[in-house]
Amino acid sequence: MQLEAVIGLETHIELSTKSKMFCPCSTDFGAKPNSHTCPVCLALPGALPVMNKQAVEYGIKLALALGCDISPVSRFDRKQYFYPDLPKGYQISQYEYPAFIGGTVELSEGKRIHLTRIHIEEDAGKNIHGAGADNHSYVDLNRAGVPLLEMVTEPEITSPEEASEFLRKIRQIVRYLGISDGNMEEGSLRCDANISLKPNSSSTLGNKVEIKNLNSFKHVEKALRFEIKRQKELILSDQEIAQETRLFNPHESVTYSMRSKEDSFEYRYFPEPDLPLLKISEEWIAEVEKTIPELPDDKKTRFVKQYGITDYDAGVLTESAELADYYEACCKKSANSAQIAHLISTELLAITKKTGQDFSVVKPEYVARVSELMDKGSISIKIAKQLFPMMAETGDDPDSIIKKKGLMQISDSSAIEKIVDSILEVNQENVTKFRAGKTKVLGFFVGEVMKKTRGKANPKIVNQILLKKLNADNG
Amino acid sequence: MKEVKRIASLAKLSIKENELESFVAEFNKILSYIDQLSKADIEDVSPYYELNRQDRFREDVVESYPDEVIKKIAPEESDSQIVVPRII
Ligand SMILES: [Zn+2]
Repeated sequence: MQLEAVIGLETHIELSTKSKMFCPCSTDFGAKPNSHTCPVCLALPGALPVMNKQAVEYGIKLALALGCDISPVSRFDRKQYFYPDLPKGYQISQYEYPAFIGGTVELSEGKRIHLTRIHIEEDAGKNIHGAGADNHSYVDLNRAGVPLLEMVTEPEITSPEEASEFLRKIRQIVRYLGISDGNMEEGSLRCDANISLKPNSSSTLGNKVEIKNLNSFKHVEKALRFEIKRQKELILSDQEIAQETRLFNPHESVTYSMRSKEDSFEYRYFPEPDLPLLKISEEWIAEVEKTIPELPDDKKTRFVKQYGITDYDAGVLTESAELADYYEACCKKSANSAQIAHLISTELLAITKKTGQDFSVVKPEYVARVSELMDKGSISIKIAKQLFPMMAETGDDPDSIIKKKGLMQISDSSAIEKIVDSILEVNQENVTKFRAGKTKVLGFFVGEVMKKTRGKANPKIVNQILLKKLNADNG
Repeated sequence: MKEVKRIASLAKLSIKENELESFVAEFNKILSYIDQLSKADIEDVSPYYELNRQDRFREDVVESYPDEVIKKIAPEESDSQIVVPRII
Protein backbone atom coordinates (compact mmCIF):
# COMPACT_ATOMS: atom_id res chain seq x y z
CA MET A 1 0.00 0.00 0.00
CA GLN A 2 1.35 3.39 -1.01
CA LEU A 3 0.87 6.00 1.69
CA GLU A 4 1.04 9.70 1.06
CA ALA A 5 1.80 12.29 3.73
CA VAL A 6 -0.66 15.15 4.12
CA ILE A 7 0.83 18.03 6.07
CA GLY A 8 -0.55 21.38 7.17
CA LEU A 9 1.52 23.98 9.03
CA GLU A 10 0.63 26.60 11.59
CA THR A 11 3.40 29.14 11.68
CA HIS A 12 3.76 31.84 14.31
CA ILE A 13 5.65 34.90 13.17
CA GLU A 14 6.84 37.25 15.89
CA LEU A 15 6.65 40.79 14.58
CA SER A 16 9.57 43.16 15.03
CA THR A 17 7.60 46.09 16.39
CA LYS A 18 9.31 48.11 19.10
CA SER A 19 6.40 47.78 21.51
CA LYS A 20 3.91 45.04 22.36
CA MET A 21 0.57 44.38 20.65
CA PHE A 22 -1.69 46.01 23.23
CA CYS A 23 0.61 47.99 25.55
CA PRO A 24 3.72 50.18 25.21
CA CYS A 25 6.15 47.70 26.84
CA SER A 26 9.36 46.99 24.90
CA THR A 27 9.69 43.82 22.85
CA ASP A 28 13.50 43.64 23.15
CA PHE A 29 14.80 40.11 23.45
CA GLY A 30 16.99 39.05 26.36
CA ALA A 31 16.10 41.75 28.93
CA LYS A 32 15.97 41.15 32.68
CA PRO A 33 12.96 38.91 33.44
CA ASN A 34 9.68 40.77 33.83
CA SER A 35 11.29 44.17 33.28
CA HIS A 36 9.10 44.67 30.19
CA THR A 37 5.74 44.37 31.88
CA CYS A 38 2.94 46.72 32.83
CA PRO A 39 -0.62 46.49 34.17
CA VAL A 40 -1.93 45.61 30.67
CA CYS A 41 0.32 42.65 29.92
CA LEU A 42 0.18 41.53 33.55
CA ALA A 43 -3.63 41.60 33.37
CA LEU A 44 -4.13 43.83 36.39
CA PRO A 45 -7.77 44.79 36.98
CA GLY A 46 -8.92 47.82 35.05
CA ALA A 47 -6.13 47.80 32.47
CA LEU A 48 -7.30 48.18 28.86
CA PRO A 49 -5.55 46.90 25.73
CA VAL A 50 -4.97 49.30 22.81
CA MET A 51 -3.95 48.02 19.37
CA ASN A 52 -0.47 48.71 18.02
CA LYS A 53 -1.00 50.31 14.62
CA GLN A 54 2.39 49.21 13.33
CA ALA A 55 1.65 45.55 14.11
CA VAL A 56 -1.56 45.70 12.07
CA GLU A 57 0.36 47.38 9.28
CA TYR A 58 2.95 44.59 9.28
CA GLY A 59 0.06 42.14 8.95
CA ILE A 60 -1.30 44.08 5.97
CA LYS A 61 2.17 43.99 4.39
CA LEU A 62 2.39 40.22 4.62
CA ALA A 63 -1.18 39.85 3.38
CA LEU A 64 -0.39 41.99 0.34
CA ALA A 65 2.82 40.08 -0.36
CA LEU A 66 1.03 36.72 -0.26
CA GLY A 67 -2.15 37.80 -2.00
CA CYS A 68 -4.51 37.29 0.95
CA ASP A 69 -7.94 38.89 1.07
CA ILE A 70 -7.86 41.65 3.66
CA SER A 71 -11.02 41.74 5.77
CA PRO A 72 -12.40 45.27 5.99
CA VAL A 73 -13.65 44.34 9.44
CA SER A 74 -12.20 41.65 11.68
CA ARG A 75 -12.51 40.91 15.35
CA PHE A 76 -10.42 39.92 18.32
CA ASP A 77 -11.57 37.04 20.49
CA ARG A 78 -10.52 35.63 23.82
CA LYS A 79 -9.01 32.17 23.75
CA GLN A 80 -9.23 30.76 27.24
CA TYR A 81 -6.77 28.37 28.77
CA PHE A 82 -4.89 27.95 31.99
CA TYR A 83 -1.15 28.10 31.96
CA PRO A 84 1.16 30.32 33.99
CA ASP A 85 2.65 31.90 30.86
CA LEU A 86 -0.68 33.63 30.30
CA PRO A 87 -1.50 36.11 33.06
CA LYS A 88 -4.98 37.00 31.82
CA GLY A 89 -6.19 33.39 31.64
CA TYR A 90 -6.90 34.02 27.97
CA GLN A 91 -4.96 34.99 24.90
CA ILE A 92 -6.26 37.79 22.70
CA SER A 93 -6.46 36.22 19.26
CA GLN A 94 -8.73 36.22 16.21
CA TYR A 95 -10.99 33.24 15.75
CA GLU A 96 -14.22 33.67 13.83
CA TYR A 97 -13.25 36.73 11.82
CA PRO A 98 -9.52 36.74 11.00
CA ALA A 99 -7.95 39.83 9.46
CA PHE A 100 -6.51 38.03 6.42
CA ILE A 101 -7.98 35.15 4.44
CA GLY A 102 -6.50 32.96 1.70
CA GLY A 103 -3.26 33.72 -0.13
CA THR A 104 -0.52 31.50 -1.53
CA VAL A 105 3.16 30.76 -1.07
CA GLU A 106 5.03 29.54 -4.14
CA LEU A 107 7.82 27.00 -3.70
CA SER A 108 10.85 26.62 -5.97
CA GLU A 109 9.36 23.94 -8.20
CA GLY A 110 6.39 26.19 -8.84
CA LYS A 111 4.11 24.32 -6.44
CA ARG A 112 1.70 26.65 -4.70
CA ILE A 113 0.75 26.14 -1.07
CA HIS A 114 -2.60 27.77 -0.27
CA LEU A 115 -3.13 29.57 2.98
CA THR A 116 -6.31 29.23 4.96
CA ARG A 117 -5.82 32.41 6.93
CA ILE A 118 -3.47 34.74 8.75
CA HIS A 119 -4.60 36.31 11.98
CA ILE A 120 -3.18 38.66 14.57
CA GLU A 121 -2.62 37.61 18.18
CA GLU A 122 -0.39 38.12 21.18
CA ASP A 123 2.44 35.90 22.39
CA ALA A 124 2.58 34.26 25.82
CA GLY A 125 5.36 34.48 28.42
CA LYS A 126 8.15 31.99 28.98
CA ASN A 127 8.45 29.32 31.65
CA ILE A 128 11.59 27.68 32.90
CA HIS A 129 11.01 24.48 34.83
CA GLY A 130 13.08 23.55 37.86
CA ALA A 131 15.15 20.39 37.55
CA GLY A 132 15.56 17.56 40.02
CA ALA A 133 14.58 18.43 43.57
CA ASP A 134 13.53 21.95 42.57
CA ASN A 135 9.79 21.61 42.20
CA HIS A 136 9.16 25.14 41.00
CA SER A 137 8.69 26.76 37.63
CA TYR A 138 9.90 30.27 36.87
CA VAL A 139 7.82 32.67 34.85
CA ASP A 140 9.12 35.54 32.74
CA LEU A 141 6.39 37.66 31.13
CA ASN A 142 8.58 39.88 28.95
CA ARG A 143 7.30 38.07 25.86
CA ALA A 144 3.66 38.12 26.98
CA GLY A 145 1.80 40.45 24.63
CA VAL A 146 4.40 40.60 21.85
CA PRO A 147 2.53 40.74 18.51
CA LEU A 148 2.31 37.57 16.43
CA LEU A 149 0.87 36.64 13.10
CA GLU A 150 -0.41 33.08 12.94
CA MET A 151 -0.43 31.66 9.44
CA VAL A 152 -2.37 28.47 8.71
CA THR A 153 -1.87 26.49 5.50
CA GLU A 154 -4.22 24.11 3.78
CA PRO A 155 -3.06 20.48 4.14
CA GLU A 156 -1.19 20.60 0.82
CA ILE A 157 2.37 19.90 1.89
CA THR A 158 3.45 16.35 1.05
CA SER A 159 6.96 15.89 2.43
CA PRO A 160 9.23 17.01 5.29
CA GLU A 161 11.50 18.74 2.76
CA GLU A 162 8.60 20.70 1.34
CA ALA A 163 7.59 21.77 4.87
CA SER A 164 11.02 23.14 5.58
CA GLU A 165 11.20 24.84 2.18
CA PHE A 166 7.86 26.49 2.95
CA LEU A 167 9.23 27.82 6.23
CA ARG A 168 12.44 29.08 4.62
CA LYS A 169 10.34 30.89 2.06
CA ILE A 170 8.25 32.49 4.80
CA ARG A 171 11.40 33.54 6.61
CA GLN A 172 12.79 35.07 3.42
CA ILE A 173 9.58 36.99 2.74
CA VAL A 174 9.15 38.37 6.28
CA ARG A 175 12.78 39.48 6.24
CA TYR A 176 12.35 41.18 2.85
CA LEU A 177 9.28 42.94 4.21
CA GLY A 178 11.16 43.90 7.38
CA ILE A 179 8.29 42.74 9.59
CA SER A 180 10.15 40.05 11.56
CA ASP A 181 13.74 38.89 11.99
CA GLY A 182 12.51 35.37 11.22
CA ASN A 183 15.00 33.78 13.62
CA MET A 184 13.83 30.28 14.43
CA GLU A 185 16.48 29.85 17.12
CA GLU A 186 15.23 32.87 19.04
CA GLY A 187 11.64 31.80 18.59
CA SER A 188 10.67 34.55 16.14
CA LEU A 189 9.41 31.83 13.82
CA ARG A 190 7.69 28.83 15.42
CA CYS A 191 5.78 26.07 13.83
CA ASP A 192 3.20 23.39 14.66
CA ALA A 193 2.62 20.67 12.08
CA ASN A 194 -0.49 18.59 11.42
CA ILE A 195 0.21 15.33 9.72
CA SER A 196 -1.75 12.33 8.57
CA LEU A 197 -1.19 9.64 5.98
CA LYS A 198 -3.56 8.61 3.25
CA PRO A 199 -3.39 5.68 0.89
CA ASN A 200 -2.84 7.44 -2.42
CA SER A 201 -5.72 5.58 -4.01
CA SER A 202 -8.14 7.00 -1.47
CA SER A 203 -9.39 10.42 -0.59
CA THR A 204 -10.07 9.65 3.06
CA LEU A 205 -7.51 10.90 5.51
CA GLY A 206 -6.14 8.97 8.42
CA ASN A 207 -6.35 10.41 11.91
CA LYS A 208 -4.54 13.69 12.31
CA VAL A 209 -1.60 14.13 14.67
CA GLU A 210 -0.37 17.55 15.71
CA ILE A 211 3.31 18.10 16.51
CA LYS A 212 3.89 21.22 18.57
CA ASN A 213 6.73 23.68 19.05
CA LEU A 214 9.10 22.90 16.23
CA ASN A 215 11.76 25.55 16.50
CA SER A 216 14.29 24.87 13.77
CA PHE A 217 14.14 23.85 10.11
CA LYS A 218 15.97 20.64 10.99
CA HIS A 219 13.52 19.82 13.78
CA VAL A 220 10.59 20.28 11.44
CA GLU A 221 12.08 17.85 8.94
CA LYS A 222 13.20 15.32 11.50
CA ALA A 223 9.93 15.34 13.45
CA LEU A 224 7.88 14.88 10.28
CA ARG A 225 10.17 12.13 9.01
CA PHE A 226 9.85 10.27 12.28
CA GLU A 227 6.09 10.77 12.35
CA ILE A 228 5.62 9.46 8.79
CA LYS A 229 7.61 6.36 9.67
CA ARG A 230 5.69 5.84 12.94
CA GLN A 231 2.28 6.24 11.32
CA LYS A 232 3.22 4.01 8.38
CA GLU A 233 4.21 1.21 10.73
CA LEU A 234 0.96 1.54 12.66
CA ILE A 235 -1.17 1.49 9.51
CA LEU A 236 0.68 -1.45 7.98
CA SER A 237 0.22 -3.46 11.16
CA ASP A 238 -3.49 -2.56 11.23
CA GLN A 239 -3.28 -0.45 14.35
CA GLU A 240 -5.20 2.73 14.87
CA ILE A 241 -3.44 6.10 14.91
CA ALA A 242 -4.54 8.07 17.94
CA GLN A 243 -5.65 11.60 17.24
CA GLU A 244 -3.38 13.48 19.57
CA THR A 245 -0.86 16.23 20.19
CA ARG A 246 2.79 15.19 20.24
CA LEU A 247 6.07 16.90 21.07
CA PHE A 248 9.44 16.48 19.39
CA ASN A 249 12.50 15.36 21.30
CA PRO A 250 15.45 16.76 19.33
CA HIS A 251 18.03 14.66 21.21
CA GLU A 252 16.55 11.37 20.08
CA SER A 253 14.76 12.67 16.94
CA VAL A 254 11.47 11.14 18.06
CA THR A 255 8.02 12.51 18.82
CA TYR A 256 6.10 11.57 21.95
CA SER A 257 2.52 11.97 23.07
CA MET A 258 1.66 15.13 24.99
CA ARG A 259 -2.10 14.84 25.24
CA SER A 260 -4.86 12.89 23.59
CA LYS A 261 -7.98 14.28 21.97
CA GLU A 262 -10.14 13.53 25.01
CA ASP A 263 -8.33 15.92 27.27
CA SER A 264 -7.69 18.46 24.56
CA PHE A 265 -8.48 22.05 25.39
CA GLU A 266 -11.85 23.61 24.99
CA TYR A 267 -10.93 27.23 24.39
CA ARG A 268 -14.43 28.72 24.81
CA TYR A 269 -13.73 31.61 22.43
CA PHE A 270 -15.82 34.74 22.74
CA PRO A 271 -15.48 38.29 21.38
CA GLU A 272 -12.95 40.45 23.22
CA PRO A 273 -15.11 43.18 24.76
CA ASP A 274 -12.14 45.44 25.55
CA LEU A 275 -11.24 46.05 21.91
CA PRO A 276 -13.15 47.67 19.06
CA LEU A 277 -13.51 45.83 15.77
CA LEU A 278 -10.40 46.03 13.63
CA LYS A 279 -11.24 48.09 10.56
CA ILE A 280 -8.84 48.20 7.65
CA SER A 281 -9.82 50.73 5.00
CA GLU A 282 -8.97 50.69 1.27
CA GLU A 283 -7.01 53.91 1.81
CA TRP A 284 -4.91 52.34 4.52
CA ILE A 285 -4.17 49.31 2.33
CA ALA A 286 -3.16 51.60 -0.55
CA GLU A 287 -0.84 53.49 1.81
CA VAL A 288 0.82 50.27 2.99
CA GLU A 289 1.09 48.93 -0.56
CA LYS A 290 3.49 51.76 -1.38
CA THR A 291 5.94 50.41 1.19
CA ILE A 292 6.11 46.86 -0.21
CA PRO A 293 9.60 46.29 -1.60
CA GLU A 294 10.45 44.11 -4.59
CA LEU A 295 9.89 40.53 -3.39
CA PRO A 296 12.42 37.69 -3.72
CA ASP A 297 10.79 35.88 -6.67
CA ASP A 298 10.42 39.09 -8.70
CA LYS A 299 13.95 40.13 -7.87
CA LYS A 300 15.32 36.76 -8.94
CA THR A 301 13.52 36.92 -12.29
CA ARG A 302 14.80 40.46 -12.83
CA PHE A 303 18.40 39.51 -11.97
CA VAL A 304 18.41 36.68 -14.53
CA LYS A 305 17.10 39.04 -17.18
CA GLN A 306 18.95 42.23 -16.34
CA TYR A 307 22.36 40.80 -15.43
CA GLY A 308 22.40 37.67 -17.58
CA ILE A 309 23.23 35.39 -14.67
CA THR A 310 22.18 31.80 -14.03
CA ASP A 311 19.00 30.90 -12.20
CA TYR A 312 21.14 29.34 -9.52
CA ASP A 313 23.30 32.44 -8.96
CA ALA A 314 20.19 34.64 -8.98
CA GLY A 315 18.67 32.41 -6.30
CA VAL A 316 21.78 32.67 -4.13
CA LEU A 317 22.06 36.44 -4.60
CA THR A 318 18.42 37.15 -3.76
CA GLU A 319 18.47 35.00 -0.62
CA SER A 320 18.38 38.24 1.35
CA ALA A 321 17.55 41.79 0.31
CA GLU A 322 20.90 42.92 1.74
CA LEU A 323 22.89 40.51 -0.42
CA ALA A 324 20.85 41.46 -3.49
CA ASP A 325 21.58 45.15 -2.84
CA TYR A 326 25.25 44.32 -2.36
CA TYR A 327 25.39 42.55 -5.72
CA GLU A 328 23.73 45.44 -7.47
CA ALA A 329 26.20 47.84 -5.86
CA CYS A 330 29.07 45.71 -7.25
CA CYS A 331 27.53 45.74 -10.71
CA LYS A 332 27.34 49.53 -10.67
CA LYS A 333 31.14 49.59 -10.39
CA SER A 334 32.01 47.03 -13.02
CA ALA A 335 30.24 45.63 -16.05
CA ASN A 336 30.97 41.90 -15.94
CA SER A 337 27.86 41.08 -13.91
CA ALA A 338 27.97 37.32 -14.53
CA GLN A 339 31.55 37.09 -13.32
CA ILE A 340 30.73 39.22 -10.28
CA ALA A 341 27.77 36.98 -9.48
CA HIS A 342 30.02 33.98 -9.64
CA LEU A 343 32.74 35.56 -7.50
CA ILE A 344 30.21 36.42 -4.81
CA SER A 345 28.38 33.11 -4.76
CA THR A 346 31.45 30.88 -4.91
CA GLU A 347 34.30 32.88 -3.36
CA LEU A 348 32.98 35.62 -1.09
CA LEU A 349 30.11 33.68 0.48
CA ALA A 350 32.28 30.58 0.92
CA ILE A 351 34.87 32.46 2.94
CA THR A 352 32.46 34.55 5.02
CA LYS A 353 30.40 31.47 5.78
CA LYS A 354 33.55 29.80 7.05
CA THR A 355 34.63 32.74 9.21
CA GLY A 356 31.13 33.71 10.30
CA GLN A 357 31.63 37.23 8.95
CA ASP A 358 29.03 39.25 7.11
CA PHE A 359 29.67 39.45 3.36
CA SER A 360 29.86 43.23 3.65
CA VAL A 361 33.37 43.03 5.22
CA VAL A 362 34.57 43.09 1.63
CA LYS A 363 33.41 46.33 0.05
CA PRO A 364 31.37 46.01 -3.16
CA GLU A 365 33.89 48.11 -5.10
CA TYR A 366 36.62 45.59 -4.17
CA VAL A 367 34.65 42.70 -5.70
CA ALA A 368 34.08 44.82 -8.80
CA ARG A 369 37.81 45.60 -8.94
CA VAL A 370 38.78 41.90 -8.70
CA SER A 371 36.48 41.18 -11.62
CA GLU A 372 38.00 44.07 -13.55
CA LEU A 373 41.55 42.84 -12.91
CA MET A 374 40.53 39.42 -14.16
CA ASP A 375 39.06 40.93 -17.31
CA LYS A 376 42.26 42.84 -17.96
CA GLY A 377 44.29 39.68 -17.51
CA SER A 378 46.17 41.23 -14.59
CA ILE A 379 45.22 38.35 -12.33
CA SER A 380 43.99 34.81 -12.90
CA ILE A 381 41.00 33.16 -11.26
CA LYS A 382 43.53 31.37 -9.07
CA ILE A 383 44.76 34.68 -7.67
CA ALA A 384 41.19 35.94 -7.36
CA LYS A 385 40.45 32.91 -5.20
CA GLN A 386 43.39 33.81 -2.97
CA LEU A 387 42.34 37.44 -2.73
CA PHE A 388 38.93 36.86 -1.12
CA PRO A 389 40.16 35.32 2.16
CA MET A 390 42.80 38.07 2.38
CA MET A 391 40.30 40.87 1.74
CA ALA A 392 37.93 39.37 4.30
CA GLU A 393 40.70 39.13 6.86
CA THR A 394 42.33 42.53 6.35
CA GLY A 395 39.55 44.63 4.87
CA ASP A 396 42.16 45.89 2.38
CA ASP A 397 41.47 46.61 -1.27
CA PRO A 398 42.66 44.07 -3.89
CA ASP A 399 45.28 46.36 -5.48
CA SER A 400 47.22 46.92 -2.29
CA ILE A 401 47.07 43.20 -1.41
CA ILE A 402 48.35 42.28 -4.87
CA LYS A 403 51.15 44.78 -4.50
CA LYS A 404 52.08 43.74 -0.99
CA LYS A 405 52.02 40.01 -1.74
CA GLY A 406 53.43 40.31 -5.28
CA LEU A 407 50.44 38.58 -6.82
CA MET A 408 50.34 40.46 -10.11
CA GLN A 409 49.99 38.03 -12.96
CA ILE A 410 53.04 37.33 -15.06
CA SER A 411 51.99 38.08 -18.61
CA ASP A 412 55.50 38.82 -19.80
CA SER A 413 56.09 36.14 -22.46
CA SER A 414 59.86 36.15 -22.22
CA ALA A 415 59.73 35.58 -18.47
CA ILE A 416 57.28 32.73 -18.90
CA GLU A 417 59.34 31.26 -21.71
CA LYS A 418 62.33 31.02 -19.43
CA ILE A 419 60.33 29.17 -16.84
CA VAL A 420 58.82 26.86 -19.44
CA ASP A 421 62.26 26.07 -20.83
CA SER A 422 63.62 25.13 -17.44
CA ILE A 423 60.66 22.87 -16.76
CA LEU A 424 60.81 21.12 -20.11
CA GLU A 425 64.49 20.49 -19.54
CA VAL A 426 64.10 18.61 -16.28
CA ASN A 427 61.05 16.68 -17.48
CA GLN A 428 62.28 15.19 -20.72
CA GLU A 429 60.39 11.97 -20.02
CA ASN A 430 57.04 13.76 -20.18
CA VAL A 431 58.13 15.75 -23.22
CA THR A 432 58.71 12.47 -25.03
CA LYS A 433 55.31 11.22 -23.88
CA PHE A 434 53.62 14.32 -25.22
CA ARG A 435 55.31 13.98 -28.53
CA ALA A 436 54.28 10.33 -28.68
CA GLY A 437 50.69 11.57 -28.63
CA LYS A 438 49.92 11.57 -24.93
CA THR A 439 48.76 15.18 -24.99
CA LYS A 440 47.24 14.81 -21.56
CA VAL A 441 50.62 15.56 -19.98
CA LEU A 442 50.08 19.17 -21.01
CA GLY A 443 48.18 19.54 -17.76
CA PHE A 444 51.22 18.36 -15.87
CA PHE A 445 53.38 21.07 -17.46
CA VAL A 446 50.81 23.79 -16.79
CA GLY A 447 50.71 22.66 -13.17
CA GLU A 448 54.50 22.82 -12.90
CA VAL A 449 54.61 26.36 -14.31
CA MET A 450 51.90 27.45 -11.89
CA LYS A 451 53.71 25.83 -9.00
CA LYS A 452 56.88 27.64 -9.88
CA THR A 453 55.12 31.01 -10.26
CA ARG A 454 52.80 30.44 -7.31
CA GLY A 455 49.78 30.69 -9.56
CA LYS A 456 50.77 34.04 -11.00
CA ALA A 457 51.52 33.06 -14.58
CA ASN A 458 48.87 34.04 -17.08
CA PRO A 459 47.38 30.63 -17.94
CA LYS A 460 46.53 31.61 -21.52
CA ILE A 461 50.10 32.60 -22.28
CA VAL A 462 51.49 29.56 -20.47
CA ASN A 463 49.34 27.33 -22.66
CA GLN A 464 50.38 29.09 -25.82
CA ILE A 465 54.07 28.92 -25.06
CA LEU A 466 53.93 25.29 -23.91
CA LEU A 467 52.09 24.19 -27.04
CA LYS A 468 54.42 26.17 -29.25
CA LYS A 469 57.53 24.64 -27.68
CA LEU A 470 56.21 21.09 -27.45
CA ASN A 471 54.90 21.05 -30.99
CA ALA A 472 57.68 23.06 -32.64
CA ASP A 473 60.45 20.68 -31.66
CA ASN A 474 58.31 17.82 -32.79
CA GLY A 475 59.77 17.65 -36.26
CA MET B 1 -24.41 16.71 36.32
CA LYS B 2 -21.73 15.58 33.87
CA GLU B 3 -21.72 19.00 32.27
CA VAL B 4 -21.22 20.76 35.57
CA LYS B 5 -18.26 18.50 36.27
CA ARG B 6 -16.75 19.27 32.88
CA ILE B 7 -17.17 23.02 33.26
CA ALA B 8 -15.64 22.83 36.71
CA SER B 9 -12.63 20.97 35.36
CA LEU B 10 -12.20 23.49 32.53
CA ALA B 11 -12.27 26.28 35.08
CA LYS B 12 -9.86 24.34 37.31
CA LEU B 13 -12.38 24.31 40.16
CA SER B 14 -12.82 21.34 42.42
CA ILE B 15 -16.39 20.67 43.38
CA LYS B 16 -17.27 18.21 46.12
CA GLU B 17 -19.72 15.43 45.24
CA ASN B 18 -22.24 16.69 47.80
CA GLU B 19 -22.15 20.18 46.29
CA LEU B 20 -22.92 18.98 42.78
CA GLU B 21 -26.66 18.85 43.19
CA SER B 22 -26.93 22.47 44.28
CA PHE B 23 -24.68 23.61 41.46
CA VAL B 24 -26.86 21.86 38.91
CA ALA B 25 -29.87 23.72 40.27
CA GLU B 26 -28.03 27.04 40.15
CA PHE B 27 -26.76 26.42 36.64
CA ASN B 28 -30.26 25.63 35.44
CA LYS B 29 -31.53 28.85 36.97
CA ILE B 30 -28.85 30.85 35.18
CA LEU B 31 -29.44 29.05 31.90
CA SER B 32 -33.18 29.65 31.99
CA TYR B 33 -32.50 33.29 32.69
CA ILE B 34 -30.20 33.46 29.66
CA ASP B 35 -32.81 31.57 27.65
CA GLN B 36 -35.03 34.61 27.84
CA LEU B 37 -32.61 36.25 25.42
CA SER B 38 -33.39 33.76 22.70
CA LYS B 39 -37.03 34.78 22.93
CA ALA B 40 -36.22 38.35 21.98
CA ASP B 41 -37.17 39.41 18.47
CA ILE B 42 -33.93 40.35 16.72
CA GLU B 43 -35.15 40.05 13.16
CA ASP B 44 -34.16 43.58 12.18
CA VAL B 45 -31.23 44.05 14.52
CA SER B 46 -27.68 43.67 13.26
CA PRO B 47 -24.95 42.36 15.58
CA TYR B 48 -23.32 45.04 17.65
CA TYR B 49 -19.89 44.69 19.15
CA GLU B 50 -18.66 48.15 18.56
CA LEU B 51 -17.65 50.08 21.60
CA ASN B 52 -17.76 53.79 21.35
CA ARG B 53 -14.09 53.89 20.48
CA GLN B 54 -13.65 53.95 16.75
CA ASP B 55 -10.27 52.87 15.39
CA ARG B 56 -8.39 53.35 18.56
CA PHE B 57 -4.73 52.67 17.82
CA ARG B 58 -1.44 53.24 19.56
CA GLU B 59 1.65 54.37 17.70
CA ASP B 60 4.53 51.92 18.06
CA VAL B 61 6.35 53.77 20.83
CA VAL B 62 7.96 52.15 23.85
CA GLU B 63 7.16 53.40 27.33
CA SER B 64 8.48 51.54 30.30
CA TYR B 65 6.29 51.14 33.31
CA PRO B 66 7.98 52.91 36.20
CA ASP B 67 7.22 50.53 39.05
CA GLU B 68 8.39 47.00 39.15
CA VAL B 69 4.84 45.80 39.50
CA ILE B 70 5.92 42.22 39.53
CA LYS B 71 7.61 42.52 42.93
CA LYS B 72 4.37 43.78 44.41
CA ILE B 73 2.03 41.23 42.94
CA ALA B 74 4.04 38.03 42.72
CA PRO B 75 3.66 35.92 45.88
CA GLU B 76 7.16 34.61 45.37
CA GLU B 77 9.92 35.90 43.15
CA SER B 78 13.47 34.83 42.32
CA ASP B 79 15.87 36.89 40.15
CA SER B 80 12.83 38.86 38.95
CA GLN B 81 11.07 35.69 37.83
CA ILE B 82 7.73 34.70 39.26
CA VAL B 83 7.97 31.43 41.15
CA VAL B 84 5.09 28.97 40.82
CA PRO B 85 4.70 25.26 41.63
CA ARG B 86 6.42 23.19 38.96
CA ILE B 87 4.19 22.90 35.89
CA ILE B 88 5.65 19.85 34.18
ZN1 LIG C 1 2.87 45.82 29.00
